[in-house]
Amino acid sequence: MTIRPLGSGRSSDPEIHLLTGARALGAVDTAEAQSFDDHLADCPTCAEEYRSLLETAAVLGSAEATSAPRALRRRVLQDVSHTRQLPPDVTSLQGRRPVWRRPVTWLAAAAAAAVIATGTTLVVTQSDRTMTAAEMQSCVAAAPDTVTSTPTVGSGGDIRWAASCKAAVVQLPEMGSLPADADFEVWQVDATGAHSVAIAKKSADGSIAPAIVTIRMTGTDKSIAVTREKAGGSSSGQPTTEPIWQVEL
Amino acid sequence: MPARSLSAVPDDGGGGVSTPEQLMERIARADESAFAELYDAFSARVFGLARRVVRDPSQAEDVAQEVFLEIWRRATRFDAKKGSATAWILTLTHARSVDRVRSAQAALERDTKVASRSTERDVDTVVETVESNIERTNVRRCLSTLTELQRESVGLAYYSGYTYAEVARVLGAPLPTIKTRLRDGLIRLRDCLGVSS
Repeated sequence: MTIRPLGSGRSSDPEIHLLTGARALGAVDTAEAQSFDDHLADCPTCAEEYRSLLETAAVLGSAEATSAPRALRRRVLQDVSHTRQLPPDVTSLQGRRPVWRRPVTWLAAAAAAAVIATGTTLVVTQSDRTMTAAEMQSCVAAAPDTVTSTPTVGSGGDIRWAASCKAAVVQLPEMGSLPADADFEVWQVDATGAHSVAIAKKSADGSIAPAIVTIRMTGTDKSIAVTREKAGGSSSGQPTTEPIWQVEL
Repeated sequence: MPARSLSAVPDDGGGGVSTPEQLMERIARADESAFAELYDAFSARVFGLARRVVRDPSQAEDVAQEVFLEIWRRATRFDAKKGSATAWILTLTHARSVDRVRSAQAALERDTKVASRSTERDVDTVVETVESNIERTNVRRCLSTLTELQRESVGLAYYSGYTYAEVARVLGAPLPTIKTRLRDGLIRLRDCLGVSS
């Protein structure tokens, strides 16, 4: 992986942008974390990278999920019932405003990502829009209706999907060899045809990236297929070769 | 319909299920039923991560309790523009777990005169058997695509709660090397897991 400079901030450390990984893993001490966070304000590229690495670290954390003791739920809910929330305005120390008199501007900002929906249809639309790949993976990991399907063409890998999550998590196998000027292309096949969902590249060590592809299901899904296409994917937007891997849903 | 958070509880509009961001928005308005829903969706992840980092289940339970209380208190300051609610919650969980490990370590250092021994923390090498889930399988698989040094650094930083300076010391590597190793490793994980969106 090559390291390229990610913009220039006002920070005294010219390499502070390299801390995105360490910071996302919670491995930077307080003083340096502060200068890094200040730097993010000046470096949108760093902020974007940091954000994506925070989501990645959250998957590392989620992978450790294990049932919490039952008694914990009661204790937590009890705590909450007599704990006052912090005032939303960080700079204001007035802090005693009742919740219903919070600044409207703040609520508007929060609502940008979480609009209060008023009906089932709206909720679904909203959920689809805000569910990230990581969230779909968590949903499928925990859903009671998750099904595992294995390939009918090719071997290795599988797809775990849950209708309740409207999501499918594809585990691609290593998939064999690939000419230098080619990539694997992943297709979602539903009632309306084949739709490209990902380009998977093979690295020198034989691993494939992405190895995990998360797909938002349309409701008429038939299968997920992988074909060999020219580097960067089929230019017509349609598969040009026969699937080398396919899983029926 | 996406059953986002495992449990389907009617939201404000009286139908459907909520994303973590929608729950946070309601929690910020002191909605205790939304909080209960969020608890049910996240308790296994919060407790599981705390347990992985602090090791001791009863301490992990304390940390998890602390984290959920903080989620409640700070919900008013959650900003969905800066990242997902899931990332916010797990970042908080990780930070509190590391705080716990560090304060336990500080106490140990006060109590013990044997400095050389007390500065050693329990290095995470054994993967405990917990309930299998696909995230676990996926993470393992993607961790295996990292170089050994990347994997080791990421594991020490995240699961053992080391700062990158401590990782450098433990591995006997220069600081800039560890910085870039953590960044490259995490970027590679991100690309393998397909979670950049």
